[in-house]
Amino acid sequence: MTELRRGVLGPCVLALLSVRPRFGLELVRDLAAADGLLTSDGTVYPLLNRLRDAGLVTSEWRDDEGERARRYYSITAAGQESLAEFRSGWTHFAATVASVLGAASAPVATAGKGREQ
Amino acid sequence: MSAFALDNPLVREYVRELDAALVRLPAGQASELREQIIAHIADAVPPDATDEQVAAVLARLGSPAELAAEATASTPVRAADEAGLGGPQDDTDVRPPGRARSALRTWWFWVTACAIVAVVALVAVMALAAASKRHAAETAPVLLGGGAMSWWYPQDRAHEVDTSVDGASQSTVPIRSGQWQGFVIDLFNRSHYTQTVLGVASNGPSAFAGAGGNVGIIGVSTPNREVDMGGGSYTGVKFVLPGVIPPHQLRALRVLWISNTCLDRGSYEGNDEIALRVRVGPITRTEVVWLTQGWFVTGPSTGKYAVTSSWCR
Repeated sequence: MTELRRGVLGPCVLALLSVRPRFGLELVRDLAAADGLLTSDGTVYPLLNRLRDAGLVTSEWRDDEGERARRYYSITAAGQESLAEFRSGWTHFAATVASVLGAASAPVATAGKGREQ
Repeated sequence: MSAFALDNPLVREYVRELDAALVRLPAGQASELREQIIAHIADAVPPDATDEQVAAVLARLGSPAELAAEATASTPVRAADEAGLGGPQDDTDVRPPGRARSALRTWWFWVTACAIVAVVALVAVMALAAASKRHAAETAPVLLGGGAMSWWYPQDRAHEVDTSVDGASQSTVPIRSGQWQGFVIDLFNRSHYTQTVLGVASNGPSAFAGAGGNVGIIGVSTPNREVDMGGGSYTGVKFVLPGVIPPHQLRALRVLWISNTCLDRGSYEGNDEIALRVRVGPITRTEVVWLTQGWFVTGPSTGKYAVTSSWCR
């Protein structure tokens, strides 16, 4: 699950940023709200840097009045495109996984019942 | 960042451990991640937070080792970061002025450091070259007298007496007190440096014809084919000072003085060396030149100068 979680964390970040730009802690809290998605808050930052290096995310510093300067992350056009691809692929992928998991679990349950009988 | 977050001992310790854990990352990447984590802590820790709340924030962040491992394991090393540039990956990634300045400082630091190293190396090489050149000049062979030589004035040449005893040669002429006397001798520059005769040195043998009869005029011949080939005729030759003698070439040295002393019969004065001030490459030194033989004048002083001059009274 750890690897799977890592694999989907990037698209989830892109999905949140596609709604609106967010600064680090804000993004972490939104991800943490989705239970089980984050193993630790700190891992988001290396991920953000990777996404930025890949051109999927960009960042800019905002120095709003009365607030200290914060780095805000935004999704790029390439990020939007990547997210769209992931979404279409994920739907099919998740259905396939669910299908396999469902099919694989049925005989086990039957066998178990059989043994119980 | 709140002052509290930085001042909290738990945060300080966490950041210290983070710095240690990020040491294996490229400098730019480590600096960026450190900045992000600190900003996160500053946002997450309220000013009135208790140590327990701070500890909870740090625990949720994950250990510094985990963060470093995450950054190391899955982040490709960026050449720009390794070079300390840490520039944005696209035009829209605007970094804060402080960070930009930091990157520039790093860039300029290396450029400046390289420039300083290059300048120091250049200065060292130049100093070594100068020292080497100076040492070579200091050890260059002194001018060598010899070859063609002659008393300069015809009346002296007409009365010269040359003797040689036990390998020591001497040419002697009658003193003509109060008058110019002198000789000319070839000088050979054996060194690889141009040697320029500047004059007579004050700290060496240079006296001819009495204590008060120091050398009055010396001169080195200007280029002259006959002299350069070792010929003994000085007709039409000009003598100048300073006199330049190129490497491995021959010139004539003319030494003239007024014999301002009186000598009794049988007494004599002269010298077989002359001390010259000579510039050799970057240095100026005194060269004691061997004149191949002694050049002497002998008494008695005669003629009207011997009678009327103050030296002979």
